[in-house]
Amino acid sequence: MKLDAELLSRLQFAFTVTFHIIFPSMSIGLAAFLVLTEALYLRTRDELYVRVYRFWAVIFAMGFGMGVVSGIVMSFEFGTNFSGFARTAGPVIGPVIGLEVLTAFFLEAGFLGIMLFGWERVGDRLHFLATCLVSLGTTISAACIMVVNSWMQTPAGVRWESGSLVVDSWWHVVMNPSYPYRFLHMLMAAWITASFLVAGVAAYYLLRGSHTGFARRCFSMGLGAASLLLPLQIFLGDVVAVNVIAPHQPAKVQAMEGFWETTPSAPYNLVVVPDQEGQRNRFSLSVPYLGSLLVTKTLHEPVPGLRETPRAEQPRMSPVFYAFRLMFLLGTLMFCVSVYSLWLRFRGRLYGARGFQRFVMLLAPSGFLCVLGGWYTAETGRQPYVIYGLLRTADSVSPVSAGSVLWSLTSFVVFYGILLAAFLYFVRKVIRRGPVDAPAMAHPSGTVKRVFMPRAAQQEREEAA
Amino acid sequence: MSESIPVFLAAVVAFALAMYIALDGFDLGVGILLLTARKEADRDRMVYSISPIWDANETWIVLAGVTLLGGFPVVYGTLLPAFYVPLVLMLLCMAFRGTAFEFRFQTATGRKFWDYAFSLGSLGASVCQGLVAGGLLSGVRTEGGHFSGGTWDFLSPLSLLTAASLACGYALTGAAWLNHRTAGSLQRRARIVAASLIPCFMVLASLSAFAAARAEEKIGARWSMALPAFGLVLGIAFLCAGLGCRLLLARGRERGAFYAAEALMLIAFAGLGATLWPYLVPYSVTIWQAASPAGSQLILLVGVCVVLPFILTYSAFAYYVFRGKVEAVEPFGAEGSAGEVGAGD
Repeated sequence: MKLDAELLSRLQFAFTVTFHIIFPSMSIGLAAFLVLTEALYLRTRDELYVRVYRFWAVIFAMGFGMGVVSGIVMSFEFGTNFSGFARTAGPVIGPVIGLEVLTAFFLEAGFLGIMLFGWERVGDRLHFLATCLVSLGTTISAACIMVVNSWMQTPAGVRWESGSLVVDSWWHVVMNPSYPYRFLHMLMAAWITASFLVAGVAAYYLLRGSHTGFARRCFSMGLGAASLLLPLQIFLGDVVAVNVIAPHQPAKVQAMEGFWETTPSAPYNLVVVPDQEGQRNRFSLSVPYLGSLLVTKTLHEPVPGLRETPRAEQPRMSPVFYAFRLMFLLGTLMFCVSVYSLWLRFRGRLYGARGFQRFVMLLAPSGFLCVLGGWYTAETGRQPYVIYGLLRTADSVSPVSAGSVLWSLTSFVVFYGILLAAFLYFVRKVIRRGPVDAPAMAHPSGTVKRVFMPRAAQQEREEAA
Repeated sequence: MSESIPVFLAAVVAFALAMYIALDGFDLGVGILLLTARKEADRDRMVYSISPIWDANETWIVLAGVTLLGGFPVVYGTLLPAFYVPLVLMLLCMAFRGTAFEFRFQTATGRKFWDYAFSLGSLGASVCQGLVAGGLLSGVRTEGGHFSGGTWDFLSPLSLLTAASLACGYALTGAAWLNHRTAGSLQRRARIVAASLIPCFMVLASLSAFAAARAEEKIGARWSMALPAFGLVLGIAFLCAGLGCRLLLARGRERGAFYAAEALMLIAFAGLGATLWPYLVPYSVTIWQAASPAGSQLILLVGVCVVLPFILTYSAFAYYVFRGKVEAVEPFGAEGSAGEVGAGD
C-alpha cells in the first residue's frame, strides 16, 4: 500500500466520518428524549422533568454543535477529495442532500435557538413545539442521509449516460432495496445510544448517592426506552443482514461471517486471523453450529465464504469481520442488560441493585461503539466500490496532491483531537456538576401570542404579576 | 425551457451565497471583532447577540454547496479540488468557531481560550472565503473538464486583496450589527469601529475590482465593452450605500445603518457575480455546460421553491423572538457568568 492521494483521502474520510457520526447519533437520540421529557412535564407539571430537560439540553447542545461543524466537513469532502464521486453521483445524491438541507438543517437551526435560549421568551407550548421541530429536523436529516448511503450500498433507479449517472426513477433511488430497513436500524441505534447514555450517567449519580430523584427518573426512563427498543433493533438488524444485505451485497456478508470457503453446519467465528493473499484463515476460534443457526436459522445449511466473490471484488475481511463482531456482541450484551432491567423493575429493585448500576454505568458509551461497529461493517464491506457495483473508490479520487491530503489529514487529526478532548472535558464537567436546581418555569402559561407582544408591555405584565 | 432551468438554479446558488454573505457575514464579523472588547462582560454580550441565530446563518453556505453538487456536479468536482487548501482551512476554522459558542459558556476560567478560538476561527474562515473569491476571479486552470492547476494556484496579490476586503466587510457588518443590538459603551465602540471600517472596505473592494480588471483581461473587457452602464449603476449604488451607512450611523439610526452596511456587501457581491457570469468554473465551464440532467435540476428547483418561503418565514420569526438589545441571558447550565450587564439599557 502506497501513501498516495487515494489512500490518504480514504483515511481522512474514514477519520472525519468516524468523528462525525458519534454526534448525530447522540443528538438524534437525545432530541427524541427531550421531546419525551418535555411532553411528560407539560402533562404532569412535575418540576423534576424540567431539571431532566435542562441537564440533558446542555449536553445535547454541545453534541449538536460538534455534529454541525463536523457534518459540513463531510459535504465538502465529497468535492475536495472525491471529485470523481461528486461528478458521477452528484445528479443523484445532490438533490437528496439538497432537500435534507432545506427541510432538516434549516428547521433544526431555526428552532434550536428558541429551544436552548427561548423558554423565558416564548412560553412553554411554543417552546415544546420548538423542541419537537428540532427533533423532527434531526430525524429528517437521518432519513435523507440514509437515502444517500443506502443508495450507495444498493443503487437503483439510475442508468449510465455518457459517463455519468442519470436518474430514471426517483422513487427507486429513494426506496432502494436497503433503505427502509437501514434507516429504521440507524434511527433505533441513535435512540438506544441516547438511552444507554442517559441510564449510564444516572447510574453514576445513584452509585454516588447524589441527585437521587433526578437520577432515578433518568435511570428509569433510559432503561425503559432501551428495553422497548432493543428487541426491535435485534430483529431489524437480522432483517438488514440476512434479508437485505445478503442478496444485494453478498461479499459483505461473506466477510462479516469470517469464512473463505462456503461452510455447511458452520460454526460461529469469534476470532479469525485472515490471510487475504492466501484466501484463507491462519487461525480461527469458533462456537460449533452457531454460525449456521444465526445466518440461516437452521443447524446445517451452509454459510457462504468470501471465495464465492472474485478477488478483485472482495472487501478486506478483517475490518468487516471485527466491526461486525463489535456491534453484534455488544448489542447482544445491551439486550441482556435491558431484559435484566425489566426483571429488576418487576421485583422493585431497580434502584437498589448496585452491581447492576455499576455495569450500566460502564455501558454508557456502548451505543456509540455499536454505531461505529455497524458503520465500519457497512462502509468497509462495500469496498472496493464507493457506489456498489457502479463506481470504484479508486476512480472517484480528486486530482489533488498526496502532500495536500497528508497536510489536511494531519490537521484534522490534531484539531479534531483538541475538539474531542474539549467536548469530553466539558461533558465530564457538566456531569460532575450535576443537574442545576432550576427555578420553576418563569411563565407556566405561555402562548404563541406572547411572542408578538411588545417587549415593554411583556415586562410590565411580568412585573405586575 | 431546458435552457432556462440551469439559469434559475444558478440563481438559487447566487441567492444562497448572498444570504450567506449577508447573514453569516455579520456573525463572522462579530467574531472578528470579539478580541477588541477588553471586558469579558462585553464579549459575552457580543456572543449572546448571535448565539441563537448563527447556525441558521451558516446553513446558507451548505445550501449553496449542495445545490452546486446536485445541479452542477462538474463544478463541484472541479472547484473544490482547486481550492483544497483554503477550503479545508475554512472548515477547520468554522469547526473551532462553531464549537466555541457552546464551550465558552461552560467554562469561566478557560473562556479566554475559546474567545481566541472563536475570534481567530471567524477571521480565518473569512480570509479563506476571500481567497476563494480572488482565486475565482483569477480563473481556474482546467484540462478536459478537470482541475489541472497546482495546490497554490489560488494565491495571488489579487486573492490577498479580496481576502482583506471580505474580512473587512464582514467586520463592518458585524460592527453595524453590534451597534444595532447592544447598548452602552459596547455600542459606542461598535459605532466608531463601523464608521472607520466603511472607507476601509470601500477602498479595498475598489482596489480588488481594479486589480481583477488588470490581472484578467477578460474582466476589463467585459466591464468596458459589455456592461459599462451596469458598471456605472453599480458604482453609484456602492458609493450611495457607503455614504448612507455613514450618515445613518451618525444620526443614530441603528437598524438603517445595519441594512446599509449589508447593502454595501451585497452590491460588491453583485459585482463579483456579474464579472464571472456566465461561468461557473472561470473561465472555461459555463452554467449550461456544467448543468446536471434536467430531472435532477428540476427536483432541486421545485424543492427550493416549495420550501424556501417556509425557511424565510421561520428564520425571520427566530430573529423576531430574539429582537431588541441584548441582555446577558445565560443559557441552561452556563458556568460563572460575568455578572449582570445590560440591565438598565
